[in-house]
Amino acid sequence: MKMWLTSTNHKQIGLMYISTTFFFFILAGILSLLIRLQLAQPDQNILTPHEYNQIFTLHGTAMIFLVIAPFAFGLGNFLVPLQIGAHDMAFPRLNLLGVFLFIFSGIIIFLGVFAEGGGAFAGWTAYAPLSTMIVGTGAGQDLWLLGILVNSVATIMVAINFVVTILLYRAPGMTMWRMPIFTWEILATALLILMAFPSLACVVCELLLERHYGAQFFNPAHGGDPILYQHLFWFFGHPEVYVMILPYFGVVTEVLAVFSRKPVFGYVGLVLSAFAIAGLSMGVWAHHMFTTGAVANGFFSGMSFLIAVPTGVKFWNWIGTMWKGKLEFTTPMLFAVGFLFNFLIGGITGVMVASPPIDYHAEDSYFLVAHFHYTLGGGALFAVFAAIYYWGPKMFGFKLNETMGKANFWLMFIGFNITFIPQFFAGIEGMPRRVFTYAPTGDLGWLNAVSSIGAGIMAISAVGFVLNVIVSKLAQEPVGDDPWGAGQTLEWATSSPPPEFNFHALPPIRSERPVFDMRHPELAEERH
Amino acid sequence: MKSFVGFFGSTAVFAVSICIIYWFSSHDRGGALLLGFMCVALSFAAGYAFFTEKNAALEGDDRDLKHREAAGEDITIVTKESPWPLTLAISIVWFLVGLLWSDFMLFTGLAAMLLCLWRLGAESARVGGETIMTKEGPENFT
Amino acid sequence: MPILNPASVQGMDLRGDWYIFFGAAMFVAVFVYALILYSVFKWRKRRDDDGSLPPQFHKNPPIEITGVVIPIIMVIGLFYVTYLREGVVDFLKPSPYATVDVAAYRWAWQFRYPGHNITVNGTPRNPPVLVMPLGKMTQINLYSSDVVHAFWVPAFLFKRDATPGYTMHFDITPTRTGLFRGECAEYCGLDHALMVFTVKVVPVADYDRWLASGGTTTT
Repeated sequence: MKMWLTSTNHKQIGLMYISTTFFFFILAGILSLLIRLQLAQPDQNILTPHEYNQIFTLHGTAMIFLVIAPFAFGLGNFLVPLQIGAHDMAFPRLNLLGVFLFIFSGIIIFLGVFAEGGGAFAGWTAYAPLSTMIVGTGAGQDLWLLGILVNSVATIMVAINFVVTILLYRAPGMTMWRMPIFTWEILATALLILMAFPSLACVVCELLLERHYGAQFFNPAHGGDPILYQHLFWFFGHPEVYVMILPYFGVVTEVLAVFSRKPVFGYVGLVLSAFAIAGLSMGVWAHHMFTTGAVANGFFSGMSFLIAVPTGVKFWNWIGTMWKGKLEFTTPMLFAVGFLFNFLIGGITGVMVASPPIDYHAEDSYFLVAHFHYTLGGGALFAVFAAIYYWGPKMFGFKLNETMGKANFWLMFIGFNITFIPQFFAGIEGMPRRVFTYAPTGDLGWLNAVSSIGAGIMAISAVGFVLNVIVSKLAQEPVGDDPWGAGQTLEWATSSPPPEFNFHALPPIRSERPVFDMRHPELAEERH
Repeated sequence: MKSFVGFFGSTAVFAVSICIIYWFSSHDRGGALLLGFMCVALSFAAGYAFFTEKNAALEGDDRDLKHREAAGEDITIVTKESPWPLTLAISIVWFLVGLLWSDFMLFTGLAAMLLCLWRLGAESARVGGETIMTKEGPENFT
Repeated sequence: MPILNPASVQGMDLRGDWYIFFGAAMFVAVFVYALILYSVFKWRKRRDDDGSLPPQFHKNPPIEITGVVIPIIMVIGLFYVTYLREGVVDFLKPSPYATVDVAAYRWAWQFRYPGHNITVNGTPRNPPVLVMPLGKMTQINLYSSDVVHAFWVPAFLFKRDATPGYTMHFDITPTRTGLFRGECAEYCGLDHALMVFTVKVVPVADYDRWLASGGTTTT
């Protein structure tokens, strides 16, 4: 126990992130099931409006701030030092401080539920002036804001740590252009965090000042401006979307390359596209505000379209990585290909809503809900599972059961699409998001019923995953350094799980896949 | 390190160009200011890296260096454990809650934060308890 | 499905954008899915695999550049389409036939017809009716008195946020008579889901009569 509280080892901290996100994932998943239960039929009263509003606020907050983004930090914490041949992160104690602040932020946010008047219910976007009204949003909203503040500070800490580690702690011979793609994507993510999260920390502080100390930043009655809140929030909020997806692009790239038995196709293109996405995503924030009528729609629409180009490059190179390979459909590979399928729908609908004339109808409707669930649920979450199945043996020393893993994938894939495809049509029919009930007009009734059935299938899949972890833990088959037999990057050159300081000896690093070079010296070639 | 300067520098140039375009297409002070801050931060990082690059000969940037060639040098200094990050995290949360609701928590939290920061500093100054990596692996330096 | 059959002139303009983007999205989806499925079935590891390594190529600059150029061309085309349509929709035409001041507040709507002394108030359980003339342009002046709301009539494929401190203006020219559902699209607190209204489009003669009677006759 003492070890878990004081050890600054990066692998332990990574596992702390991952286990905490798993806990919050279960909580947020249960919340989403409650949402689908309430919406399964029109005019239901399973939850009161007040309960429903708290539930969707917590579901969004938890999935974004406590599951998808921090899982990537945990994965990065575990993997980045291994992939670049370092012994630990650059600032181990800052790292430990960051993980504890992250855990506390989650606890603070969820404790808000027990406050008088209930937890926060202003949505994860907490738009002012709704979130600054003391009436109706009492201590729960304050705790939510405090939690987000602590979370943003923790995130900035972890980003600084990643940047310094990747730049200064690379093993001899590991030039930047020989780093694995996952490490590159973490670097781009860290860059984005450093640009975007200070804005979140500021805007949360402003809300707290307004709620407690009489500031009037966003109150039009005293010269404030609610649009300013939206600018500040989305200046963080849109890059945050890419903070939640860039690391998972890295995961998918690695998994596809390893199980196609090929090097990553278009390495330079993948790296440059990651930075292009990071840069462009800083200039698109107000596409969340097209319908306000108070922003430069043309500018933001054009910038948003441009992001499709580097994302297209990624798809192109992923297909190139699979091309002429020998694809082995293990569970991580299935999840990675599932990611490609789902994320493509998220991407093309993303281009649609980036066009203001379409967004005038789609904004804040279930079309938009389905769109971002395809990027973050069908995209990031599938990559989370791919990562757990792929690096699980390295982290825990045992492989997860493949048969159960495949069942896990197929149920998740089918359930996910059954849940969210109907929501596109519900949105087009005119169902706004964040409603606790809806009138039984048109096709909304059966669309929502189908969607709820899909959510049930996903729940079964998630339970199957938990069972898989338990069963595999009990079976506990020991694994060697490279359980997949095809590892390419440095983490597969050490034991599973790795020793305290990661490596007893490093292989020479002459390309972006030193472990492959070690296995096939006849094919090794020096690069970059 | 050169790549680092390149990436941060080009992102800074990108930031300043969209800042200008944005200002002339919207005349929105808030957004233009945020983009300006972004450019300043990126230029700072790129400039720092550019000017320290000459002094910092990174082994990672040497394309031909083999691991054993680095033998005998200290690779990195790592702390194995420290009780202070947890304590600091608790006092930060305590302090923030105090900021909103309780002066007692505010001042005790502030005191606890300062204590933790002092202990963290003292820990960094002390060599004992740290571990230095050598070619044979970790070696305790007591 | 409102995108198949929008009930306003502006909605018809917006629908064109939906069609073009939907076509482009389908084209990209079919193309990329075909490539993925082909790779998955063609290059999967066979049962009688000899264990040899596949070709270890890692780049192909012409192919990679093609993968940059095609999206850029598509994106420029889509941006041009967007730019044209948006100019049409956002342009506020002069001399509307009718003007309605719409006030959004938690959790209902108020419609006022300036110059006619007509005010329609709603409550969450009793949605108000917004009467509009058929085939004539109505200008909506939208504002909010508390938090951010959004005025959304799905049949018109259009919504606009009601932000406190701002007044928004836009035109609607209905092309069909009938009742259309309107709702608040921006989350505004407890009864957000019940913040609905009804748009009633009536022939111009009926509208004029309704207006002259001070909003008392049934249209």
